Amino acid sequence: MKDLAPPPQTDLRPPEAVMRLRRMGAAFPTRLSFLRSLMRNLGAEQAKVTRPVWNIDAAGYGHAVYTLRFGGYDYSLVAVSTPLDPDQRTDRVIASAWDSTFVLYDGVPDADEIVRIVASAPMQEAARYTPRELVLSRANRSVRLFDHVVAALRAGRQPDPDLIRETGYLMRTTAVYGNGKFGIADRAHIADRPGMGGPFMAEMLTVWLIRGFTHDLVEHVGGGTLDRAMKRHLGIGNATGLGMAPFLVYHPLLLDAWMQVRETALARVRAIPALDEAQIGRIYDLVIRTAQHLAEWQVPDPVAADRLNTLRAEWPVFADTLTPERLMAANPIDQIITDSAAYAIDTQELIVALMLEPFGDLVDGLTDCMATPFTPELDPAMPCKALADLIAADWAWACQVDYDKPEDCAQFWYVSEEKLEPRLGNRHAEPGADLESPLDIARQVKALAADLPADDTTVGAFLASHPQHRAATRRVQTLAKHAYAEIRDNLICASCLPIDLLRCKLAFFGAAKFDPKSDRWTRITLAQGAPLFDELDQADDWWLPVAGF
Amino acid sequence: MRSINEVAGTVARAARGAGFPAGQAEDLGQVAAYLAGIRADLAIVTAALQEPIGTPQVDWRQDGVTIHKGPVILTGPTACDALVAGAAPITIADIAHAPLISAMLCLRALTPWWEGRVLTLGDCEILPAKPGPVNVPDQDWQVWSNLAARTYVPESAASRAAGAGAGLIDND
Repeated sequence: MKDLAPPPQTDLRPPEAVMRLRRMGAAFPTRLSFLRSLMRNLGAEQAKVTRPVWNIDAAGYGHAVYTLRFGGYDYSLVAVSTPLDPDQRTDRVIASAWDSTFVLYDGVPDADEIVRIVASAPMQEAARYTPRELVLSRANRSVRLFDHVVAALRAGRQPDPDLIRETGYLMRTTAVYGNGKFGIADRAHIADRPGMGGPFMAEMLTVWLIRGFTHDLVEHVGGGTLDRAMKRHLGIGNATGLGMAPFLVYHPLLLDAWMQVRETALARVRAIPALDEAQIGRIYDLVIRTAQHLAEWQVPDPVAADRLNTLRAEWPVFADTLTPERLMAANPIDQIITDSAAYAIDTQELIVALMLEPFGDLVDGLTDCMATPFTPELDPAMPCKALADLIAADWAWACQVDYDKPEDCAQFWYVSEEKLEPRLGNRHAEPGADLESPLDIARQVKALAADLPADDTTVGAFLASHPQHRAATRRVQTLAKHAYAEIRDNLICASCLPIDLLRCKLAFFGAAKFDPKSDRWTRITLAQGAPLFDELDQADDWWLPVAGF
Repeated sequence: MRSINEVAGTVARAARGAGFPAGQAEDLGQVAAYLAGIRADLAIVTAALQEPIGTPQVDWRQDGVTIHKGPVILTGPTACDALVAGAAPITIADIAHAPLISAMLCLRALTPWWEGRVLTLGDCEILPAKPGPVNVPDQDWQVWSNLAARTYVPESAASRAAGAGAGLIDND
């Protein structure tokens, strides 16, 4: 039997550059993003979504069930729509009531199960669930757009295209819970199923089904049919805060897997010796699409707006460099990526995402490597001097910080008593730092380095007398084998912006139109431009979607 | 019924709430998840969380490690480390710690062989963990939850406004 050699690739971008918060916070969705993978897999299976239950009244309240078969298993979205007092409509995770609540159900629920879910889903965290529930979520209407679309449809016309472009979704989810939260199924329950093995697949399936529900709901209440192009441009919004920020820190091997896949994909594309005419044409099309996407992306936040303006300014400059001669030269993409260092980091990362897009044959298979069943392990037989060498080699960025300086320890991560959600406090102004969550990885490693003997003592023996360094030791050893496992920045300094963590993770989900509301929460759009339920045969060309109307 | 993930997360937080370091708390969360996954008695986790945290006394030699005293949440990982590093046999002072140390070893795909208080590597079968849900006795869950709650920070008006950073009401 002959082994299949992997495609050629260049060196990967160094983790010292890739794993900085500022660059992670400039991430864009790519064709490797989870929603894109899911859509391709659904499309390949020609999955059919049906709606066996639609018990929604004229005002839009009631419940509905959507069902599809995927990878040999049935899954159902149970959607519950309830009246909501406007003064209770908040994006905060601390809310206790929502316009709509959802459960992704394992199988097809019978009448009794529907009754149970309809009673429990609106309570969200206040209820307990069963392993038949795979994902729990809720969403609020984007009132201005939802009401406008209803009014337009009732008047027998289509909604204002500008408003559709401006908002881009009818509802925003404010939480999408999976993996055992509140008694729902553990991820292990579905991780081995075809199509569900990738990270967050059940969650992505849920948001895509919710998006379809929002289309159906607005058409039902409005009594008309939305233009298909507008409908496709209506994704599902999401408001995300600090709750998801620590995930990347607590799952270093997963972070490494995601980054390795993206960087390996880029390295493969950079190794392409020459482009053919079709590939060049595709790049030109995507450059034009990107310009339109940037024009349609509205961000009120002044910092984000500045960055977006730079992107908009640099994009045509970059586009002008893509002459036919340059694209027909040897190793064109490698050269383009090398030269992109002249632009802002946001532009650099956008160019990376763009250059992956035309080469699905080369990179899509890598998405099979984005999940990992492993957890970090400690090697107690390693001599302490070898551990010290690892710290010297990989952790200078952590050890050169003076954590006694107020600005370098200005923030502390904690879990709030009220919602059991991660929060970030000001160490010098708020109580609670004594209950700090251990996200101060850099500081922990510096403390380890200070106590570590540079001799042949085994790590196990050292830890027997210094048990407080166990977590840091494991991080150091893990990073030696998984180069992208660590965010190489001080996560407790004054300048640490949680929004960068959020954006990185959300880009891997497939989010676009980042709309930060502060440095610690953002709105995004998911599944904008994604296939509708009956369009899964057109499943793969919606990177950086633009309004086609 | 609880998910395995709830068990792991709550026990890890409980260990930190009890005052144990983050690394050992992570380990205990994982071992609790494993014990739950094989449907074992979780009372040994609860008992471990309630031990006083004293400084461990360990005599580590390359031809054997003796654990004279210390809570199993700290000494258990040490015993496992010693076996992995080839510093067997391990002698423990408190035989009541043996079940949890055994589970910690199984998590590293190793199995224990006990002769009284002396531990070496065995070659028995490791039970595979199964997905949840699992039944966690109320008395265990209550202890875990109470200890975990010691890590929670009460919200203040300032932290609610600044900590999550979101606006309060949003009807746009």
